[in-house]
Amino acid sequence: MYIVIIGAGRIGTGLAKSQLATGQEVFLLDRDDARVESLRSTFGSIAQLGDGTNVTNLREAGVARAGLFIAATGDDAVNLASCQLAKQVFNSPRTVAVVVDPENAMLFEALGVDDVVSLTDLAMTRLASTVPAHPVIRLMPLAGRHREMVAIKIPAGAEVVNRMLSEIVLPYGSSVILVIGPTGQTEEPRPETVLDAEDEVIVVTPVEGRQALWETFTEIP
Amino acid sequence: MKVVIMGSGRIGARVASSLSADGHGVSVIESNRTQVMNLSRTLVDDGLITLVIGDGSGSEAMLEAGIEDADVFLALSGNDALNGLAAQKAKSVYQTRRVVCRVKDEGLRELYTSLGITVTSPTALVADVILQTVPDMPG
Repeated sequence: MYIVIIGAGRIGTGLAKSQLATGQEVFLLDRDDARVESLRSTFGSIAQLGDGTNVTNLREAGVARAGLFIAATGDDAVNLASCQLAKQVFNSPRTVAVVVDPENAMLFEALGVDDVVSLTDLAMTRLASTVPAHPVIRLMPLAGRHREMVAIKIPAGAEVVNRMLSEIVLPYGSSVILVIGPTGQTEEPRPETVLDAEDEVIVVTPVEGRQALWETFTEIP
Repeated sequence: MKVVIMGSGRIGARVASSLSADGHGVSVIESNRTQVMNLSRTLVDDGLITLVIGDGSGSEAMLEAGIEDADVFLALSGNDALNGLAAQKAKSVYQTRRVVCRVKDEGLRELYTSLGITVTSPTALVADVILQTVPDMPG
């Protein structure tokens, strides 16, 4: 697939390298001469000096034939404008914007960006998971941001302890995808799987089901 | 009428003063302290122009400037993409009735116009005025 990336900073460059390694065709645009030169000296003509918010520069980068358009500059406003131009002018099938301000994540999706990656949210999720005994750990958002994967530790004495999975009523749309025992052994969940205290369940859930899910697995009668 | 202006460069500051002189309530959001110098000191000190120092497209500054009950939002900074983001936010998040966005780039002008935002391009306006001063050339 042909991928156009706006911004040749750490994220854009790292992504370009990993995609080149898997045989994708990649092209980067950046406003910084030094960054572009450094990429060209290593990888040849995969980068060009240009502005992701300029239609002419986007046309020259071949956005019209790109299967994926990624705006990964450090400037949220530029990333939005680039993705909107890619969509509106070049009918990009898929646009992705990186945002630094988490407030912009929902807004950009509402404004037509197909997928938004919030750096702050990702870092916060990862950091929260390092805090011991955190009740619900958000492991990752899933496509479209409306669903996510979470981990919940079952406390001793919880109502679900010694119950079979088939007996537990989960919030609508949620499903347990893995059960991890206290020593780290993993078990593929079956209806007859019996939960134990200190087990960790990995669940895919709609975002709005997170609270109910937490109550289901941690409530102590 | 209540007007929130983003950007107190020469254009933003001048629009702010004129609107204030006409009796409108004006708030100005500016992130750069040196740009604030463009605003009339007396109007700010007398409380006729409310100055908010902050990120022009951030909710915090927009709310402090009173975007929720503003009739008009003018994105007049020198940064096209930032103006576009702030204007779309005013329109879609705060449902501001009238939103105007200053844009230099022609492609962005078309984009924002297609999104229902009133776009003004000082560059194009100046060019038009200059062209009007050129006498008609014989065909």
